[in-house]
Amino acid sequence: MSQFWNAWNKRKDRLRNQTLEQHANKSMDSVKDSPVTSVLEDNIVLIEQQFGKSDDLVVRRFQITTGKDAAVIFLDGMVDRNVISDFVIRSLTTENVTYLSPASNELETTNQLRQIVRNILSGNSVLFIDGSTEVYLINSRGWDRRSVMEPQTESVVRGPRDGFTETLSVNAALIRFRLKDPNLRVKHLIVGQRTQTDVFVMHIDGVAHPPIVEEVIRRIENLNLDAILETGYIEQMIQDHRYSPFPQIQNTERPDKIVANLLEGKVAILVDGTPFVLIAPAVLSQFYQSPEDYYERFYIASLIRFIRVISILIALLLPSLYIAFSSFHPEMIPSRLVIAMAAGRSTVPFPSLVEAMFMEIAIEILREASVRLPGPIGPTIGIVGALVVGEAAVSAGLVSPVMVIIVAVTTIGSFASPSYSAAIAIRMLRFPVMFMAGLFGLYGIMLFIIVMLVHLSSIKSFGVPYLSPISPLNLKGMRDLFLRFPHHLMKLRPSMFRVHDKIRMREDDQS
Amino acid sequence: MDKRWSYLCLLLLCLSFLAGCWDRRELEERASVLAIAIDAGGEDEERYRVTVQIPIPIKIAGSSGQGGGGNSNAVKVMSVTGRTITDATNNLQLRLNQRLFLGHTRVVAISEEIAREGIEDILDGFRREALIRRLLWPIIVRGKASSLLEIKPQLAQIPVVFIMDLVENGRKMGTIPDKTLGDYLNETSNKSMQPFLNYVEATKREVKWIGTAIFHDHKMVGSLTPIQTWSLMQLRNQKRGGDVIMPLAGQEDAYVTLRPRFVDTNLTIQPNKFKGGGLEAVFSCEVQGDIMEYVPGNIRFASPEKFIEAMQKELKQEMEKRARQMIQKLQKHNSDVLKLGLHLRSYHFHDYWVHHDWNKAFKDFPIRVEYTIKLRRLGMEMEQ
Amino acid sequence: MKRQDNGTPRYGFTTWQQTCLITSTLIGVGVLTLPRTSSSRLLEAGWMAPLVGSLGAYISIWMIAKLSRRFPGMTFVEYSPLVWASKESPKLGKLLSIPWIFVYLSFIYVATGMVSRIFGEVVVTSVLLNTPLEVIMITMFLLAFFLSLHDVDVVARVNEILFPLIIFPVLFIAIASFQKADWSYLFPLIRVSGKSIFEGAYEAVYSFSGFEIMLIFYAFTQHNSGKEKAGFVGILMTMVVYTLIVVAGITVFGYEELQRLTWPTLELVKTTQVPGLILERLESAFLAVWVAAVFTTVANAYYAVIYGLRQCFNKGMVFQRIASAFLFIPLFFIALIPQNIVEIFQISSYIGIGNLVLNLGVPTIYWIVLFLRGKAGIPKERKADG
Repeated sequence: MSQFWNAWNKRKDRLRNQTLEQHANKSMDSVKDSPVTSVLEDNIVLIEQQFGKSDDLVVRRFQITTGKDAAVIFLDGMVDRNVISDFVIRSLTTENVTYLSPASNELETTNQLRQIVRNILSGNSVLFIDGSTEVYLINSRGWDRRSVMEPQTESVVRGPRDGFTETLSVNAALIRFRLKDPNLRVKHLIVGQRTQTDVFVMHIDGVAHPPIVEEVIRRIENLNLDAILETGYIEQMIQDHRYSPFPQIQNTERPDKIVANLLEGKVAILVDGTPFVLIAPAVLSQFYQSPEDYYERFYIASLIRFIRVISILIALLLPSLYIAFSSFHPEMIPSRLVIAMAAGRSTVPFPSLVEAMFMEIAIEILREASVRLPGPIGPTIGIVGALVVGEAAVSAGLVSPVMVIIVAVTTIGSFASPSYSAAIAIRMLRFPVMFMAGLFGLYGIMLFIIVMLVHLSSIKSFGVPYLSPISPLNLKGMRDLFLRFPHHLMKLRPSMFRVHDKIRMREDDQS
Repeated sequence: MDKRWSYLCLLLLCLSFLAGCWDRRELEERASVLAIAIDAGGEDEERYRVTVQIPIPIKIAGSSGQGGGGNSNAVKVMSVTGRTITDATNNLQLRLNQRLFLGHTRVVAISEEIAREGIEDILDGFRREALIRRLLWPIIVRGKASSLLEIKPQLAQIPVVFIMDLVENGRKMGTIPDKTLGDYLNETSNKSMQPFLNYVEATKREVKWIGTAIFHDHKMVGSLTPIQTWSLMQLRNQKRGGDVIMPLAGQEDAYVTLRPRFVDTNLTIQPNKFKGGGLEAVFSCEVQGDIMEYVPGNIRFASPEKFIEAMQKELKQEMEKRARQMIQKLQKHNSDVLKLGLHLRSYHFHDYWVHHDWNKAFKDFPIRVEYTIKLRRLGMEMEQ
Repeated sequence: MKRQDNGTPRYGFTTWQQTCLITSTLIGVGVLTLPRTSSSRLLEAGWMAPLVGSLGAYISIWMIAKLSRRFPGMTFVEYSPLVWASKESPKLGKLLSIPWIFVYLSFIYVATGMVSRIFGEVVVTSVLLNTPLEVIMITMFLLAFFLSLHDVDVVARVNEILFPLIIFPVLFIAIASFQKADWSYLFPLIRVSGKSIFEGAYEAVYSFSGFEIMLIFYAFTQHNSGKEKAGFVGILMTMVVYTLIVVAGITVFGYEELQRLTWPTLELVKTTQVPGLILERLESAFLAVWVAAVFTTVANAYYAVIYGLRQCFNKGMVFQRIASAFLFIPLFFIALIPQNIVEIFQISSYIGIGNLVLNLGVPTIYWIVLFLRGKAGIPKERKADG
């Protein structure tokens, strides 16, 4: 009899193994979506096989008060062990439970294998009880998480100091905490065949344009990546023009920025495991705007915005203007200055294009190196490097003094952009402009600008033209373009995102 | 569609390799000519002698810490001859390591000798050359034009910069007329007026503004002294001109100085009352200004009001006299630099212009000048 | 993998976009010579030339706009067969409309070549002295080609974004040079006869050519937008800019000197001194910015030709891209036909007149035919659906 059972069990094992091996790629889709059995040991084996006997898979067997065997399965390190020992095992082994309700705050039941595996992978623990096909999923997630800190990339002088963390639920809470609106909708998606990353798509119902929201969700659902390690994966895969150097989806670490954008009718995409949250659709003007613009008085906010625009233009064009003026149009430089500049250049053995390229590449190396260097050394090396190399290059007669000034101003200008992703696009585009300037002077610069403008005009981010509100012209939207109008004059939400609830401030609300 | 960008980049890359940067010429690879001087060629030489001034960047103080000091040779002055101006510059190019660059030419000095022969031929090349500024200053030099480029002013490293500053400062003060090449070209093209240019004299170390040269049909026909030029500027451009230093009537070494602050001129054409028939031009010029100096101060007036009244009267007569002298000179040389002809053509076209040949009529056209002097202040001094 | 744009609505051209399209197409190389050409006959009264010269353009754009209202959503190429024959005989309609379409498209095509040639000339003579003319023209064509790769709504947005770049430099130059202006140059107001006012205006007509591209582009407008208004405002703005430039030219130079200047507007820039500006000699900068104006002229016209051809042959975007790449080659050689600058100006003045005749003639004929066939009624406005 026992032989028969052994044989039966073996056969069952073999069959199970066969079915598992059929799905040789062990991604989530391969887990058979089948119900579990009522035999505890079978179930444990089933799970262990799914995980290929990984050593961090913990199976804790015990007997509950009714005498039945039970087991809790979880992944080591991803769960809060206190939850499991105190609330699950202790309550089940000591108390007289007739119906099963482990004293955990979240409890679900299922009998589907796929869901069980997914829950184990995302840090929940699973409770099997012999003789029951009901499996309890206990929310016991408890890995070490970074606490909410001030964002590193987008610091502001005035404004909230909290930034997103790597934990999705915390991030969602940070948004909810600021936006106590029941119309805030969250759509949960799971992306990445292997990483099984949780993604939240958020929008405010009644403000955001539903087709845009649907389009965002559709594009994310259609993603066929096996791994989402950062929002950058999603950003690059779902943007309209994948070959464009310009970011068409904004990212931020700041919850207040997300809330402000949600209120403008945009969609936020939160991804588990990264503090960077995406905002779609995005338009070009967003990349030089900072949340601080809205916190400070509008005069200074507008002024600072202007300065940012100018600094972006400087970062893009200054070296190429230098090349154009010094190699092609010296008649445009005042006579006195031109003699001084010629004097500075007289020892330089290269054309100004090579000189500029040389210096710009040097400064890019410095910048990259100072990012990679450990904490406090980085900026020091940056400054020392720039000073020493610049000074030495000038006295060696390799570059002209004007060039050093130009490179310095350009570099500083590129830091003034509040959005890193836009700043690096500008940094990169600087090189082709310099090249064009070296070919045709100012004419070349203008050719490049026109090509760039044509390209910018052709971009749409989720159906919203990238250059709005300048083109197509929207005078109401211009109030928040270069100038930041006072709040009481911006009663309407920007219409370019086709918001539904257009009114931001009711007439009778203002005093 | 997605490959669009890569194709474009590829295309640009190919283009750049094909290209080779036709117009790229670095700053230091251009021999920037700051000033050109044009003289008549010598006895056995070709028609023009062209002298240019090229700064030597490395010698200019303040440039990368080196050089400086000896400003004696901060510029190179070179001189060539040629049948035409362009011929001369081509000859010059044969002697230079870098290409001549005329984009920074600020001063064209023309000798009086050449100017009296006519400068139309000289300016033709300047007219066609794209790099030449319309805002450069043609200057007529008494004596040799090249002497202007050889001065050593010491106040500025580059002599041309000194001249530029001289003219620029005079323009700002309202004492030197701002006559650019563009103005000259406009005025010669215009059939109703004649041009004038600044007139300077260069000594070994210095340069001095000595008034203006007046032209008729591209030929210099005469010159105005600084005082006459100031009258001209007051009537023509409503510029204030220089200080008016007037000897007081009936006294030795007694002078009063008026500094004009504000000039307002109106030109009216009215039927001639005196000679009967025809028209006459009346310049009514109101000058507001201050008394800057009054020497000797021993003549006392009864009251400041009396003083002002008397001075206004005397100054009016003096300035009208000056203007009359200036106009007489213009009419003698038949050079309408007053823009009177333009006024007649613009506002009296049908009743006057079509019936007369201004070229001949200007000589005898009756012109009257009426000054109104308004003294505003007496300086820091309150007593007369 | 091409992303499909579900749920992203097509933008029709707004009224402002149409205005920008017209203005930026009209303002091109004409401005560079306008002060000279318009004062050649009219002398001091040269500023009247753009005013009188624009009259034909107003009438023509009005008729073109009305034609587009009669056939909403259709380009000239599409509605021509419907004008010439009933819907039942499309073959006949097509046959009868081919000459008109051909004349129009080839005319715009040649005019485009001339514009790029003139621009090449001015760049080569004044800024990039050693660069071959051909290179300048090819770069211009490449820009136009690049635009032709995109959809038609991109054309509208590009014109809209470049519009300030076109208007402000001219206004700036005109207004800045008024410091040096001598207003006496504008008088006497009337010296020439009434007849020669029209003769003089004829010289300015060339600068008002180019709006015929609206035969194509009116088809893509939002249905509730004012086509006539856009046309009028577009031409009005051009007219104001032109008049200002001519007035500036005359008051600074006087008409005699203007006749001696090849590129008077450029000389105007040379004469302009902006106090407090670091840079001198703005003409290089002006010409560089002016690339935008010429680009909009060349590229819009070229796009219209390509789009017209595409519709003639009932082809799609791929055809447009391929055609735009290849049609440059003949255009390049056409543009190189005139031997020298004098010939270029002569041809451009012929083009101006031919253009006026065409723009006034063809819409008139079309309307007459429509009236004769009793189909002149303009359909009720459709609700905007895009």
